[in-house]
Amino acid sequence: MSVLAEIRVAVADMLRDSSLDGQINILSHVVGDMPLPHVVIVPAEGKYIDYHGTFGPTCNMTIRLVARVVYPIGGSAESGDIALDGFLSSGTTETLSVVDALAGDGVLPDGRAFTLHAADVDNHLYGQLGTESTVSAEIPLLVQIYRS
Amino acid sequence: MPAFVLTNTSIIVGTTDISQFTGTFTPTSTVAMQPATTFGSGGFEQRLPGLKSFTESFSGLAAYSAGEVTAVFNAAQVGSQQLVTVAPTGGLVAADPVSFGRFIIDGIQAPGGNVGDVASFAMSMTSDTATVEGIVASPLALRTTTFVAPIVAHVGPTAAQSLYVGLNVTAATGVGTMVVTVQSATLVGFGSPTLRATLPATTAATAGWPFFVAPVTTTDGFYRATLTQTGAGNITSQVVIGVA
Repeated sequence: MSVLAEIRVAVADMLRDSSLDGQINILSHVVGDMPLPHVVIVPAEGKYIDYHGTFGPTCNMTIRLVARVVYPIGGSAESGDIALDGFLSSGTTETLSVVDALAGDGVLPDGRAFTLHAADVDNHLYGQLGTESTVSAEIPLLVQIYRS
Repeated sequence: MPAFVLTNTSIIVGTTDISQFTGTFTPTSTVAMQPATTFGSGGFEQRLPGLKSFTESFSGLAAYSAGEVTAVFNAAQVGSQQLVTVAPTGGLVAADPVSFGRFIIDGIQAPGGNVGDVASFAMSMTSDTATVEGIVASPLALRTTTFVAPIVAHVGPTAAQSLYVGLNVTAATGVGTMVVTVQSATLVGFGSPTLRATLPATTAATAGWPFFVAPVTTTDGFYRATLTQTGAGNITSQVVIGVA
């Protein structure tokens, strides 16, 4: 598996290792069947990879990902809004926090480490995913890793 | 060489390759312009070039693991002397261009940044002797036995110049020593080489960075470094030569 794919799998594994597992479907890549609610790790819009952050053959690369949290709006829009806020909250008592679950460095299968930083989140997005109304938010993720 | 994009630039400071932590380097060469105006200057100021000096500054990303840039270069290193070698095109093969010289670290800002930023590193240095435009004689590599580097072409020093040799030893383990010598010859075939410089021996267990000045005058146009190892050492080193 390529390093980019491995990073996305590792980020998804960090979510699975947290208290989020069982509360939301965790996906490292876009797949055909994506049951709600879910968080999926996807490349950021715009610049995805900065290959040359520093000099040399083992230079620093910056990879921009997004943890997209999608929640179904069931009986009321309010319930979906409240549930999504739970996933976007941050703090030591926030057991559903996606950001807190991603606070730490990751490790690839070959032992290489990467640093991970969650950046600022924009507003909730309301829309339609297939036949279901959804509310979603995107958490930008900044990954730093040295080329092998 | 046509224009090129800086990507594989090699930057070694003392015993540490900081290339992968550095995103910007700025070399500056200056000469003090001394007044030399006389009544015969025709009503204009005249000047003479005086002493030359050089600065280098590097900035990039902070990193703290063993051997990484901020673990090696921090407040404790301010004022220390370092051999700095910068090979813009990578320095991976003999004869790659390199700028090198002995510098003193005069400022370090690391780590820095705002909350949420990638932690940054910056270091500035001022020369305390010549800065030399030269070439790589022996590229950075791990060697466990004696290595005879390729023959490289370079102009020889005139009577007003010297031959400079820099050695960066970035890692060394094991036992034994390594002695670097530089020879020159008139012809590319290196038929009758002349020994021009013998650097102090490197102990296999100790990284280091000799900066050697050989007061040589020669028209020889070809040079070769030999890294003679005795014992069972694992020594990662780079040899650079130049004339100034």
